[in-house]
Amino acid sequence: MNSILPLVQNETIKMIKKKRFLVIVLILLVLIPIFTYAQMKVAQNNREKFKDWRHTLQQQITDNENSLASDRVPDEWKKYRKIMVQQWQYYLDHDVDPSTPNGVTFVRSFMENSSSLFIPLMVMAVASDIVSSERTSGTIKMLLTRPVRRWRILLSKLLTLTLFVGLIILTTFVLCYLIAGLVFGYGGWDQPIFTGFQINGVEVDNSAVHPVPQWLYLVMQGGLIWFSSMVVAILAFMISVLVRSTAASIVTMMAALIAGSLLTNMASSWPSAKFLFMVNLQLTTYLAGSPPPIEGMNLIFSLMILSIWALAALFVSFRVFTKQDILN
Amino acid sequence: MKSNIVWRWTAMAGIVSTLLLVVGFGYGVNDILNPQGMELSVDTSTPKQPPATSDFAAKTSIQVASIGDSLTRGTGDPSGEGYVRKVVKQLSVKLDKPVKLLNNLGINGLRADQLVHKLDEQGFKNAITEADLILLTIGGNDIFNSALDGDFTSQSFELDTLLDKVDESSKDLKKILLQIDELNPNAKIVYIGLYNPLADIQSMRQIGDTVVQRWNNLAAATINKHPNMTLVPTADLFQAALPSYISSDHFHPNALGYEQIAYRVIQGLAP
Repeated sequence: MNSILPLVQNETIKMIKKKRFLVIVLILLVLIPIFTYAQMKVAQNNREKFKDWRHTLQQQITDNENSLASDRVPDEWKKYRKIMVQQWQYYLDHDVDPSTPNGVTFVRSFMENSSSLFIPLMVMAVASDIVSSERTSGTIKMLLTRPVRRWRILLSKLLTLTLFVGLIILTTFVLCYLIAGLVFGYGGWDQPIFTGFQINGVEVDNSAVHPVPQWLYLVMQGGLIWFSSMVVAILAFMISVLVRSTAASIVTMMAALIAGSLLTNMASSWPSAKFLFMVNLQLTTYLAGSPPPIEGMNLIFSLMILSIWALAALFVSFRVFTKQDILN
Repeated sequence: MKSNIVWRWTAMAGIVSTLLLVVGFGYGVNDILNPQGMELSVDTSTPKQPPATSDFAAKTSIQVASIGDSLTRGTGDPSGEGYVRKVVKQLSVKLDKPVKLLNNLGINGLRADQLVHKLDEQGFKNAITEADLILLTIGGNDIFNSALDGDFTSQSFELDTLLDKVDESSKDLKKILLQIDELNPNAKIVYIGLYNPLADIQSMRQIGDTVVQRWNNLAAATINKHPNMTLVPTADLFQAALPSYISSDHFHPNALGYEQIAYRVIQGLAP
C-alpha cells in the first residue's frame, strides 16, 4: 500500500496539470446558470398564471389525463404519464409541494436529469485519456520502465480516477446549489420528498411511501449517481487501455452513452436492451419511483448488470495492460 | 512543494466526497429495497374557506374554476380558448375587475359518472372551494359516445336506449351539482346545457333533439331548486345554425360556437 500512494499522487498531479478538471468546472459554470434561468422562467410563469402550487399541480394532472385520452400518444408515454399522475395526486392529497422553487429542489431535479448523460459525459472527460494519452505522448515507456509492477501503475490510475469521480459529482452539487441559490434562495433542506412508490404495471402502490427530508434524498441520489458514474468511469478506463488514440476512446464511450439515452426512450419494444449497461445508468429512477425504461427492471437487476459490466471491464483492463507489448 | 499542497487537498476532497457518496449509495439502496411505509397525517389545520359572499359586485377580483368534459377543455377551438377563456376575458371587461382562472379541469371524454369520483380528488376540491364562479359542462359523452364512434345503427342509438341512458346519467349530474354546492355554497354555478350535434343528419335529428331536451329538463329540475345555479341553454343555437357553429369533428363547437356559448354565459352573469 505504501508504494501505491506516491503513484496515485503522481497521477493526481498529472491530472491537475492537464487542467481537465478545470474545464469541467468551467462547463458547469456556463451550463448551470442557463438551466437556472430557464427554471426561473417556469417558476415565474406559474406564479403569474396560478394562485398557488396546488392549482399548478392539479392543472398538470388534468393536462396529462387529457393526453391519456388521445390515441396519438404512444402507449409507453401513456404508461409513464399514468404513473406520474398517480404520484402527483399523492403529493396533492398530502398537501406537499413536490417542486417548491428553492436552491435544493433545483439541485435535486438537475442531478436527476443529468444522471444519465451529463455527469457520465464529464466523468468520461477525465477517464477517457487516462491511459491512452500516455501512449499518444509516448510517456508510457517512461512509466513502464520504472521498477514498479504494471498492475500497480494501472491501479494507481484507477484510484486517481475514483477520486475525481467523487470530486466531479460533489462539485456539480455544490456549484448547482451556489448558483441556483442566488435566484431561488438557499433553503429547502428539510422539505419532505416522498419515496417508496412501488410500480406494478401502470398502478402505483402507495403502501410503502414515506417522506424523507430533501437533504437525505440528495445524499441518496448522489450515492446512486456515484455508482453509475463509477461504472462509466471503469468502462471508459478500459477503452482507454484498449484504444491507442484519445479521440477514438472518447468517441467510443460517447457513442455508447448517447445510444443509451436514445435506447431508454424507445427500448420498450426491445426488452433485451435491459442487459446493456447504458440503459441501466439512471438508478435514481428507482428512488424517485418513476417507471424504469423497460418493464421488469428493478434496482437489484440494474446494480447486477452494472457490476457485471464493470467487473468485466476491470478484468480486461488489467489483463491487457499487464500483458500487452508496448510498441511504437 | 506547491504541487504537494495541491495533491493533498485534492486527495482529501476526493476521499471525503467519495466516502460521502458511498454512504449515500448505501442509504439509497437500503431505502429502495426496504421502504418503511408510514401513515402520513395530512395537515388540515387551515382548510380553504369558500368565498364569504356570492355577490360579484362586492368582490375586488373574481376567481373562476371550470370542470367537465372536452367542451370545457375547448376542443374544437383552434385557438384553444374554448368558452372558458372567452368567459374569463369578457367577464373581466364587463365587470371591470380582474377575473382569474384558477384551474381549467376539463378532461376530454369525461362522463358524468367519472366526474362524480373526480370531485373527491383534493385538487378538484381545492379549485371548487376557492372559486367565485364555477363553469360546468358534462353529459355529452354519456349520451353521444356511440354517435362519435360512428355507431349510428346499433342498439345503442335507439330512442328508448338513449332515454334510459339519460335518466341514468342525470342522477350523476344531480350528484355533481349537489356536491359542488356543498363544497362551495357561495359560488355561482353555471351549467352549460347540452345541444344536439346530430341536428343536420335527417334520420338522427329527432332522436337527438328529444334526448337533449329530456336531459336539459332533468338538469333544470335540480338547478331550479338552487338560487346559486344557472342553466345556460345552447340547444337552440345548434338547432338552426349547426353548420356555422360546429367544428370539423362534428361534435364539438368551433371558435364561433364557443364565442356564442361564452356570450350567453356572460349575459346571465353580468347584465
